[in-house]
Amino acid sequence: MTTESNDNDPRVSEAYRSFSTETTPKELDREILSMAAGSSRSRYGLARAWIRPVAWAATIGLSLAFVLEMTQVRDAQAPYSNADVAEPLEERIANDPAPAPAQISVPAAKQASSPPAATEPMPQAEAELSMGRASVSEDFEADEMTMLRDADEQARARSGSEQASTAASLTFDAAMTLEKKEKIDHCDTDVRSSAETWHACVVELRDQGLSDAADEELQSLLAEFPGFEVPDPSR
Amino acid sequence: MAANAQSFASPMNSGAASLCSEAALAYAHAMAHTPEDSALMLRYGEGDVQAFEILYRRHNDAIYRYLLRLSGHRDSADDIFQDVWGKIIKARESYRPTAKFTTFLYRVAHNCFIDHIRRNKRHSTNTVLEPELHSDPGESLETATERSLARERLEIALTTLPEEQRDAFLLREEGGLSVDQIAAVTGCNRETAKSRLRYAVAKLRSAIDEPAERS
Repeated sequence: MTTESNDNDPRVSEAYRSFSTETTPKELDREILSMAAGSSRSRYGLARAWIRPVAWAATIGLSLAFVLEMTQVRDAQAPYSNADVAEPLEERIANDPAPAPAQISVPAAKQASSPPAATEPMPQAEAELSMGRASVSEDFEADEMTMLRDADEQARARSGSEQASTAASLTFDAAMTLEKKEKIDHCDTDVRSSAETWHACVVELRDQGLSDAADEELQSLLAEFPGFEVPDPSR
Repeated sequence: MAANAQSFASPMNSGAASLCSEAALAYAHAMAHTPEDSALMLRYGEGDVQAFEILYRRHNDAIYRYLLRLSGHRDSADDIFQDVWGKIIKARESYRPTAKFTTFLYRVAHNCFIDHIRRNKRHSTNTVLEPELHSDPGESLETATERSLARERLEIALTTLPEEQRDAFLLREEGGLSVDQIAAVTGCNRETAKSRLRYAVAKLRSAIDEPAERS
């Protein structure tokens, strides 16, 4: 005897079906069908017919807002694309038509560092020019370094790949090398041949407002010529 | 179907074959367009009341008999029946066709019956419903009487079955559920459901065979 025959006997089924012939009372049928129809009407009644159009309108509106937001974010991130970061800094500087930070005139530097100030009246700009030429130049250098560091950090954050990270670190290293190079090149080698010409260069740097560079050059001068007496600037 | 197969096989009866094939095609077309229970329920969830009516007409009598045999009272069966379909109607929006609709329907019915027992302690399974006697016109009086007695014995045996065994048997006979589906409906494992069904069938078989064993 199989398992199926144990679970199911045709004779039992037939005998059961011969007497189990009851049907649902008609009243019950009517009641349940009317209940089903009434329930469906209340769910999809005219009172709630506005829900679908509103839902569609809301969905479309939110989608448009999202697309606009994403477009703006992409535009804002465009200057720091991976291609830009991966490009060596030296090449970027070589390709950049803008002059080196040390050679930028103060109004140009001022314009580059703070564009809204270009619309300010001239007397105020002149006052600022006379008050802090040095600080403007330093600010520009600081801004340049901050921008490079930001680019470096963004490159690391945006690209999880090791290659992008390496490119970004190379970019930052190149920036640091450039900074050191700029420090050395404030005074030429010819000028450094004698203490007097070197000191004249230091004075010139100080007059240009590059006081940090002047201090560094002065320290280098004193290290090179320990016996040199620095003239008193008041005299 | 066998006739259709023969007509397709015989090249001699081309006219009859074409008629049969048309009928077969029409039948196949109708069957292909007979919506499944789950699809009907989903359509009802979207507001199609006619879909519910089709679904209801498919299952109402079987569910009613299941509840009637399980409870043993017409009034109780009526109450539970309304409760079951009320729950199905309420579940129209949340319904997801994860299982066969029949399993879902009988599970609701089973749970409604359990709730009904808990609410009404007066529930008794010993009531024997009045049998509706049907006899074939060409049947002899002796055969008809024996058949009637067999039915009566079966019905009495059914009412005396333990509730779980009766439940399993009725789910098989009225719902056409498999052992796995019975297990899912009654919330037990497969082996338990199989064992209950086996015991129920064995007891009912012995009830039918009782006079023959005596002779």
